[in-house]
Order: sequence, then C-alpha cells, then structure tokens
Amino acid sequence: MKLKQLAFVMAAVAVGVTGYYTTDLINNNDTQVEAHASWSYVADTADSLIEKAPLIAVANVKSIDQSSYFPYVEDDTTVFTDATLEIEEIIHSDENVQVGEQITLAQYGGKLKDGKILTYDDVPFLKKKQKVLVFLEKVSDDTIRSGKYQYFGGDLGLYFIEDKKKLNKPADNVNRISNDIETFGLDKVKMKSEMRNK
Amino acid sequence: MMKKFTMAIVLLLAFIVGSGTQVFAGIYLDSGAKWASPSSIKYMNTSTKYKTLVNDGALNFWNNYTNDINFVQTNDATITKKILVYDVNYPSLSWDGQTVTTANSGYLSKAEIKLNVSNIEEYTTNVDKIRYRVINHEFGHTLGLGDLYTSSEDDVLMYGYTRATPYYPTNTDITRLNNLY
Repeated sequence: MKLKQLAFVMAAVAVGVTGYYTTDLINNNDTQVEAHASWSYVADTADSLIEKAPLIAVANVKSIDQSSYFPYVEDDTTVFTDATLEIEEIIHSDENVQVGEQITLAQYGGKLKDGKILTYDDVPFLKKKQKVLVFLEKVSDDTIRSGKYQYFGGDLGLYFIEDKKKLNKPADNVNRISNDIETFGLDKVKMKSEMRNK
Repeated sequence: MMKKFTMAIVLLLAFIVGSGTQVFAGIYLDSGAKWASPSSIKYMNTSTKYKTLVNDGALNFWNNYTNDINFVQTNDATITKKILVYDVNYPSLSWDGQTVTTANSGYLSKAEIKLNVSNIEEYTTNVDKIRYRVINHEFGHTLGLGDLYTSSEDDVLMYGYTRATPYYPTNTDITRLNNLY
C-alpha cells in the first residue's frame, strides 16, 4: 500500500472515531438498563420545595462529560455523569455561587462498564445548550462526587425553560409538586422565592 | 479534482458511520418489560438490615396479593436470571431504594434492588411501614411496574416518593400488573 493511501485510511479511521466520540453520550439510546429510584422525602408541596432547596438557579448547560464514573467501590450500577452548568441567574442560594460561575452537576445515570447506558425513567440526561431551572444541593461526602451538585429531591430538581419563562417538567410521569412548579412558571417561582429571601 | 472529492466523501461517511454507531447502537427499553415466567421469579436476599422484611415483601405481600406472580427465594449465586436484593449505605444520595432492571426484547433478564439503609433509617415516624413501603415498592419495579403518580397519591404503592402508606400493593397496582402480564 502506498504511503498516501495508508495516510488516507488512517485519516478516515481517525475521523470515524472522532464522529463516535463527538456524539453526545447522553443522546443515544444504547440501553436496556433502566433505574427507578424511590426518591427520599424532601418536600410536601411546591411552596415547601422552593422554601427548602439550598440553591435555585437558572442555568445553561455548557457541556456534558463523555465519561461516567462510579463513586462506590464494588457497585457497578450506581453511576454518574457530570454536566457543567453556567449560572445565569440565582433565584436563591445558601451556597457561595455567583452569576456566570460554572458548577458541576452529578447527573444520576451514565455509561456502565459493559457499555450500556443506565437511565432513570424520571430524570433525563441534560443536553448541551439547554436552559434549565434547577433546584440543587451540594454533595458533601467522601466520594468523588463531593463538592459537586445534585438535584434536590431527585426529579423535583429539574425543569426545562422554554421561551424564557415557560417551564417544562422533566418527564410526563412526575408527581404533583413538579406539575405545580411547571404551572407556576419561572416568574412565580422567582416571586415565591423572593418571599423566602426577605 | 474528482479524487479529492471522493476522498472528502469517504471522510464524511466515516464521520457519519462513527456517529451513527453511537446513536443507533441499541434499542431503548420500554418500561413495559416483564418476566417470561412470572410464576417463578427467583430472588436472592442478601440484605442484613431488612432480611425478614424483604422476605415478607416478596413472599407475603406480592405473592399473596397477586394471582400470577410468584417470587421464589434462592441462595444460588450462580443463577443469573434473578433479582438480587442488598443493602447500601449512601447517605449523600437522594434515594431510599433503587431498582435497576435489565431486559432483552421486552423480557426482564435480571434486576437488583438496593436498599439505602442510611436514608431509610433517617425516618422517625411510621418507621416499619416506611421500610415495608420501600421494599415492596422496589419489588414492584422488578416486576416491570414504573412509578405512578395519581392525584390521590395514597392510592398506589408505586407512587415514586417514600411515604408510609400504602405499604402494600393496592387495587390500582394490581390492575396495572394484570394489564402487563
């Protein structure tokens, strides 16, 4: 094989591999593994969720990590995938977070060691460029997740923002608190949070 | 000129094929997956904290409340087609219990239930009911039932948040199960 042809084949392989890895990890449907969590109790109502969440913010999804990780030894199905969020607006914060700061969100789920994707039925993976309203808490433990953020109350913590103010709950099948937050819309969440901040 | 064009097309195809491998490599699991032989669903109980409650959940609650479902306890670790139940202590996670199911072509091939002892033990009222609730709810997931949110949330065991009642399968849960199997 001539040198030119070899170089071309290698370039084609490299481009193919790049194509593989530039595809959003989270965007694919390569899964037959599904997780259902019984989320711990954090709030009874939408108002109490707004009242209790340590960090409520509007954020833009800047990037999604292409690799997942396992914080617990000998547990191959408790898996996380980090997303980087840029804070656009702080609605409430007990944390030292600034507008424009990028924080790491430890998303539940990700790529298992056998290559399959473990997904949660009620908390979808974020995608780059999405705008979201998030209710978060900072993780403090002795694992690799420490210092990162997670949704406060599981699926209660995520809403997609449409047309600047409209909120969309993360999945169709969610409880009444998520339905109420969606009905509130962004302005009402801010208004209710202002009462908390006073 | 033609040669360069061909090369560009080949490179473009390589990129598309590479991306496509990632995007179209599998089929998404429909939550309607179920066991092929529901009359003999093996489970292995390695929970130490809730050993008795787990057996109660499988054998006394689900088996007694349903006609077609029959959980059978096994201690044979070599059986792959089974439900594995075990304790974890993950206080920083947001869940009390978690079920991971694996399925092929609509049929469940294995499942595992993790009972997050550190979180479950945080509840201070209705403690026994809450323990049963988490365990029985997770067994519901292993059967292929997803969470269900109704306006009257006390009607269903499969409501997705931990609470004390109901801690057993209700008529709504059984109807869903009958529709699935």
